[in-house]
Amino acid sequence: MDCTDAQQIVSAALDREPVDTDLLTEAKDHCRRCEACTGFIRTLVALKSASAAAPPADLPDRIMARIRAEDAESIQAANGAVVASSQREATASETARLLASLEAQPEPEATATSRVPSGIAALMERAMHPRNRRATLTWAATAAAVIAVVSVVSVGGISRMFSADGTGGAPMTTQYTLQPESAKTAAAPSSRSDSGAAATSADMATTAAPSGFIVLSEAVYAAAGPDSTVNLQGLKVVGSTNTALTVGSPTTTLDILGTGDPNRVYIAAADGSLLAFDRITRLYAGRTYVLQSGPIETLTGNPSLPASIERPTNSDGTPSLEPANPADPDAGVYVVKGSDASSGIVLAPGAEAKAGPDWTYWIPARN
Amino acid sequence: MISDTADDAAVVAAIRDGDIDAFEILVRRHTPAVYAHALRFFGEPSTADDVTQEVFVKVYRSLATFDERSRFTTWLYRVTRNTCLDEARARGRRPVPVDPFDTPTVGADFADEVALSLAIEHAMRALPPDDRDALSAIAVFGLSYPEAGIALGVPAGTVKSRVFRARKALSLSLGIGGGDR
Repeated sequence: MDCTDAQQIVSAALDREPVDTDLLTEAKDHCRRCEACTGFIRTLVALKSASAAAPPADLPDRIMARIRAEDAESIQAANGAVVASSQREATASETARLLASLEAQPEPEATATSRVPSGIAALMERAMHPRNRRATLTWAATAAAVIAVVSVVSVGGISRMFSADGTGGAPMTTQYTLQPESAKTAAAPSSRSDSGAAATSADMATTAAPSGFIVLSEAVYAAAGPDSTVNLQGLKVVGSTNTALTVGSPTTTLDILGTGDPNRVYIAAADGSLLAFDRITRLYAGRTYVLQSGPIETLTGNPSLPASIERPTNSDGTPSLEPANPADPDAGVYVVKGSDASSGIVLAPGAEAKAGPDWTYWIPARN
Repeated sequence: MISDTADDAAVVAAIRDGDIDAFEILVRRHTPAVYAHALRFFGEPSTADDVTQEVFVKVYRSLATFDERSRFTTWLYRVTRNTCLDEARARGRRPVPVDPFDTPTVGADFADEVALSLAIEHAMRALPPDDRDALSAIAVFGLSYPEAGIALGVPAGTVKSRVFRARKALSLSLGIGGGDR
């Protein structure tokens, strides 16, 4: 037995690997008699006895403080949706009280000018009938919310970032486009007048923008254009993302806003407009999966495998992945070796167009 | 409340049942290994500190995806290694370069534990990354060769070779081992 063999056997035995007993005995005998191998054994002893650099004593405390703070934020964001809902109910209660007070007032003496037309009185009486009251209050609250949103829209001037078909939707006062900083001064931004005249096709060609992604707690959301219908009262900060809203601009940390619906979130652009992002999901074997990703630094970046998933080195998913359905190994759907689809699935590049060109990881939707 | 001597599988189960305090058991138990790996990767304590925090935040967020058929330490090692690579790649945190010829030799003198530890840390950082990762998986995280192979995406035999190569290199750079016959 030479030195290399002896040292390899002892090294493996140290790592509790199964080693032939006779070979191990032979290796130990060799090492006792060999100066070089004795030195190697001393290295193993030294490595085992020496302690690795210790972390700061308070590091675990700081980690837990951060975890608890993030947990509390998540709970707060979820409660925000409940609070907003309660506020809407409170508004509805106020409306009900106002309507009830009108009911209780004695009917003024009828005059030619002040008499309430009987048709409207009958309508109000019918609206506040116990059977109809709930529907009436709901409509009243909705009307109040619409009035509030319209007011904000006209004052704030919601602008368009980009849209699926490039033709816009609701009338806008300005047009926001995703384009390189250098192109911004060269290309005149297309705009709509308040009369609603659409931008020309030439304008659309210079301001067309690629789709964009952001990541919230590893879930990927795709840009869905501006949203002027969101209930502003219900918006709460649900997280943050590091991204750049224009190509070439530096990455900054932006708040992600939500209303409690996990499928849509928002980012406020610099001009105050709200940009909507929809969670990317897909169905597999009757279950909804949510796309996960590591950090995406710009809106033109693509989803990537999270840190917890080992990137396969081969196009067939090996060595870290195996087909999710062994009966259909070419479907492009994989699972981490040793796991199954209930934990998550990995799609091969190109298997899901809306997820970008890389391997992508998806987990079962919990909400 | 779960005992802090419970094994990782039991602690993970408690966390999934909503016991956030149970996560603290995992943090205290595994912070030294994660920090050691990060420090040997970056060579800078404050970066290692930041990255260690990132690792546990990611673990907490994605605990639902952990497949309990593998050991928690195997998964933790993979998250740690990938987080270090992500931080270096995506966020530009480059490891501080180290000159392997600068490794202080200790010879047969193990009396000075501090000097020995410093020398070992320096020598570890000078190892080729693949060899260092394999040694970290086995010696720091306590993985078996097959587990490390899965985590690293290589056969178990390759892990064995890399670990041995790392130890040989350390033996030579620390001035402990002699030549082979």
